[in-house]
Amino acid sequence: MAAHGSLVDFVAADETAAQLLRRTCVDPFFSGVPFVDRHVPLRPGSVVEIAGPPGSGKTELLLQMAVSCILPKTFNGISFGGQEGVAVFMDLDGRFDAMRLVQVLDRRLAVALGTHQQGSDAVPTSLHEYCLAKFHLIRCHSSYDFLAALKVLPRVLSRLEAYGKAKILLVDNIAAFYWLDRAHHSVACKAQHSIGTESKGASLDPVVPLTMQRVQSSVADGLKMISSQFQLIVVMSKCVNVTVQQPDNCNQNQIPRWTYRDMLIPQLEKLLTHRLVVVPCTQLEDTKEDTPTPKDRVTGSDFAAQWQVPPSDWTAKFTVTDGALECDILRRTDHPRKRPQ
Amino acid sequence: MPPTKRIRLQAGDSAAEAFCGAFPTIEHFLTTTEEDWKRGSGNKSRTIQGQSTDLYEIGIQYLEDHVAPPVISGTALLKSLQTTSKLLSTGCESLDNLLRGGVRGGHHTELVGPSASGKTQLCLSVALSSARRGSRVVYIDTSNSFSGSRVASINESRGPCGTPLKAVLGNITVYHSHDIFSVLHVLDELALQMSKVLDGAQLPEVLVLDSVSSVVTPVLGGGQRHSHGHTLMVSLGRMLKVVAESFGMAVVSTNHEVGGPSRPRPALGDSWLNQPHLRIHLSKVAGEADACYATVKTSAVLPRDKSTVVRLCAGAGVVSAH
Repeated sequence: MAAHGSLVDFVAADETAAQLLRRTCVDPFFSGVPFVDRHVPLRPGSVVEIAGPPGSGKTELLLQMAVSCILPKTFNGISFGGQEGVAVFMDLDGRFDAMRLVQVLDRRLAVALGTHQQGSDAVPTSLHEYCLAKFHLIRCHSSYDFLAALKVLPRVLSRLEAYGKAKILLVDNIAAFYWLDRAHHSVACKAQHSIGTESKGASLDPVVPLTMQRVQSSVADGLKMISSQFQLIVVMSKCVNVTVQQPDNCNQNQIPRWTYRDMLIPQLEKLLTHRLVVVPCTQLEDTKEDTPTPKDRVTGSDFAAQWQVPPSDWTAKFTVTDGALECDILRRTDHPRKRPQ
Repeated sequence: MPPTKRIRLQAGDSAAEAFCGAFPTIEHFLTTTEEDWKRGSGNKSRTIQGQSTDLYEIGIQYLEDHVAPPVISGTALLKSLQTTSKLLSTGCESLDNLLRGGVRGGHHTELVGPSASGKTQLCLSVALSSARRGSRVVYIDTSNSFSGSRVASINESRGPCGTPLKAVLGNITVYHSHDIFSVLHVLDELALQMSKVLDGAQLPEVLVLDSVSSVVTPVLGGGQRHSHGHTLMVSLGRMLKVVAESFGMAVVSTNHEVGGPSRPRPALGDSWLNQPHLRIHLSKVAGEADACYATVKTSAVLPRDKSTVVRLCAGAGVVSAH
C-alpha cells in the first residue's frame, strides 16, 4: 500500500501551468543602455561580461546600469523608468568615483523631472536620498578581500532587503588581480615545504595558496551561487586588449571581428550568458593615419560596442558626456568604408 | 595570513578548535564551497553547550566580523564626498581651474609627458602648496630631482605665507629610493606608521612619487632577473591607491611618454593604463621654452581632452597663465 501511495504522489502534478508561468516569467531588467535593451533584454540569472581595453567606457556602462536599477518606477506621479531595486557594486579596480555616480544619477533624475517641470532643475532631496540608499559599494584590494566579500554576500544581501530587492550585482574589472594572483604560485611552493608538518587535518593540505586557478574557480562558484539564490543579474567588466580585424577590400558587407585573448579560466567563461565588447573609436579607424582623431568620423562618438554572445550584426557607437550616455546604432550596411586612396 | 588556530572565536574555544581542525587556514575556508563542505565532512555540526553550531556558519560570521571589506551605502558615499573629500591646490591657478579645484584627496593623479615638460616642476609645486598650508607632504624621489634650494626659490616667488621657510621645508619628508623594492618598502612603512597615528590632523595630505617609470622600467621586460615585472608594477599601483584611499591622501606620480610625436602614449604599457584615477598629459608649446599644455586624458568626472596652458618660469617655478 505504501508503494502505491508513493507512486500516486510521483504521478501527481507539482504545479499548474498558471503557477509555472507565474514562477518563471519574470520581468526583464531594463538597463537604460539602448544597445543592451534593444539586443536582448536581461533577466534575473543572466551573467553579462563587458570586455574592452582600458579607457573604453566599461565603468560608465556599469554606472548607467546601476542608476537604472536604483531609480524608482514612479514617484509622485512622475515616471522614472527605474527598477526600484538594490544595486551592489564591487569595485576591484579601486577607481570607483562617487562623484561620477552622483553626476549620472542627478542627470537621469533631472531628465525625467524636466518633462514635467519646465525650467526647474531642482531635484527633491528626498528622492535623491531614496535612490542613493539603494546603492551599495564594496571595495576589494586583493583576491583575498574579493573572496571574503563573495562568501558573506548572501548575508549582506539578506540584510539589504530592508532597502529593496537586490536586482543587480556589478563587478568592476574581474581581471583586476590577474597579475597579483599569477605570482602566487611560486611563492606558495616554498611555503609548503616549510609548514608541512603543522597540518591538523590529514586529508587537507596545510597551505592553500590563492593561485589564479583556485581564486577564479572559487569566484565562479560564488557568483553562480549568488546569481541563482538571489535571482539577480551579474554584470562584470573585464579589461583586455582587443584586436580589431580590418575588413577586406573585397568583402565590404562584413563587419570587422573584434577578438581578444582571454586570460581567465574556462569555468568563468561557462558562467557567461552574454558578452559585449567595447573599444574606443580610435581603434576602429585606419591605423595608417599619423594623428588619429579621438572621435568617430561619421557620428562623432567616443566608443563603439559590439555584441558577441549572442552575436549581433550591428555596431553601436556611444558618447559619454557630463552624466549622459548618447548612442547610435549602425547596421551592417551603414558601417563606414575605408577611405579611397 | 595567520593560521586560524591563533584566532579566538566568539562561540567559545571548543568551537574554535573544531573549526581550526576542519580549516587550517582562512584561504582554505575561502576556497571551499558550502556544497563541498557538506559533501566532504561527515560530522557537519558539533553540539556545543547544548546548541548545535554549524562550523561553516562560524566561519562566515568570523569573515563578516574581521575579514570581509565593509559595505558602504550610497548615502555614506555622498556624505563623505560632502565632508571629508578635499581638492588640493596645485599652486598653478590655470591647472586648478582645469581640474575644477585641484588634485583630489583619496585619488591617484598621474602626470605624463616627454622629458623637460614640467612634470617635476609641477610635483614640487604641489608639494610646496601643501607645505605652505601647514600640512605634511611625503616626497618619494627616485631620480634625484628634488632640490631644497629650488623649493626655497619657488616659495620666495610666491610671497610670504605666514610660516617661516624652515617650517615649510620641514613639512616635506623626502625619501630617496632607486628601485621598486625600496619604493614598496617605503609605502608599506608609511601605511604602518599612519595606521598607528591617533590624531588625524598629523597625517600627510599629499604623497608625490617622482617618477614611477624610472623604477618600473628596469623590472619590466622579463628575463631571468625579473620575471615578476608586471606583478611588481600592478602591486605598486595597488599600493598607491590603498594608501590614498585609506588615509585620504592625494597621490601624485609622474610617468614618461613613449611613441614619439605621432602616437604619444604613457609608458609602462596597457597594464598601467588602468591604475591612476586621473591622468594629465603635459606637452611643450612650440616656440615657447617655458610654457606647456596640460590636457586631461583619463578621468571619470572631468571632460576629456580639455587643456590649458601652464607657464613654467625659470626661477619662480609654476605660474598661472591662459
